[in-house]
Amino acid sequence: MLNEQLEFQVSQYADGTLPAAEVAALEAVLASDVGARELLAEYRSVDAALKREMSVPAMNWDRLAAHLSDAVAAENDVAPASPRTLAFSGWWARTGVRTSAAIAAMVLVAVGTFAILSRDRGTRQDAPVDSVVVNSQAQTALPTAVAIIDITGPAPEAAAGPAVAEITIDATPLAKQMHYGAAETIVYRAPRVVIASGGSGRQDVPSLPY
Amino acid sequence: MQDVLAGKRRAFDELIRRYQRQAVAVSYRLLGNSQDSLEVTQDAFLKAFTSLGTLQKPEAFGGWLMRIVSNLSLNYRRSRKTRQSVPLAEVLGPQTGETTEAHGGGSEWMSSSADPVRGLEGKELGAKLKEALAQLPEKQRLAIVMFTIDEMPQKQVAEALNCSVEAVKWHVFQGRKKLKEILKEHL
Repeated sequence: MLNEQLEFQVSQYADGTLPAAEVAALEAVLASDVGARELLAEYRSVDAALKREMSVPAMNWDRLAAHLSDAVAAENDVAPASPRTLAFSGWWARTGVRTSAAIAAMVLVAVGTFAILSRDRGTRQDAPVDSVVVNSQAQTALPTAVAIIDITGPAPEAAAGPAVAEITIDATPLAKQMHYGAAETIVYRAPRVVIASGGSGRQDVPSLPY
Repeated sequence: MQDVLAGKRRAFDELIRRYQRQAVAVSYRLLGNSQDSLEVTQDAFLKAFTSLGTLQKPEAFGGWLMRIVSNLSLNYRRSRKTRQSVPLAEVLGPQTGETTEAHGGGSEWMSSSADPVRGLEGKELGAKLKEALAQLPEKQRLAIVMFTIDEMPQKQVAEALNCSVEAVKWHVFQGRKKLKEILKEHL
């Protein structure tokens, strides 16, 4: 019975992979040991049987290559990126799409809001000042970019008595405190309306804003 | 390889021509059926093409491809009982003037003229060999198939098996030893 180390050497010798430094020593053993020679013969027999019996049927390799090439081309058409970028695209698809879509939406909203605010502010600064007298105490410049109701007619009557109600239309105190610019755009009308006491129903006329 | 990595798909055709025989051979010896091996080979090349970006060492493409082939073959083998096979021959359709060969599973790419007529004894030994190979542990089976039968360089086998060259030698030795024991009455 050969030891396993010697058997391992015989196996390598059979397929020609035994290191050159070990070949001479093993050949000396083979020359003197019948059992080692029989083992070598058995390994060679196994290898020969494997190569003989497990042979691959002959094929039309050119045609197979053409078919494989077409299959790869079809795959390439489905994902028309280079192989290098395909891997990156896979990573991008896995990790980036949702994030990038969210960022894009946020940027879009921010730019739109900024554009609206800029337009309104710019108009407010540059436009000629129109005034609407709702109350003798309140004069407000209105932006021309929005509907302007030009009130013509007799001047408002002076209140005959003390105010019975006071309504303020403006941003909330909290919004003002936070310098919430949008409030200025949303609420641009005269910030204060005073309903004075009096017998006339003039302020309820439909053409008036309040 | 550099052209392929640069996105030149046509350059991949050269890799197909260079490695298709090896891929078919490894797959065929693991599956024992040419139709299945062709299907696995196609899947392997597609997978290799779409995964090239993950290949760390371009010079190791051969071993890497054989790892894909062997993994797909083993997975195919495990799922063969349940999967519905779509033979490539049917996908392509029959070709006029070509013979479909039934040896090991028919394929239109097989040449009947190159397929030797084997005697009953040879067929029996072949069946025993396949059976014996199937009994080997996976690494030993792959090492025997790639190194002993397909005569791939040990370094490439090592890359395919993701192990050292010394480990390949050991797997070959252990596999060969077991085959010798199993087949001692037939050799």
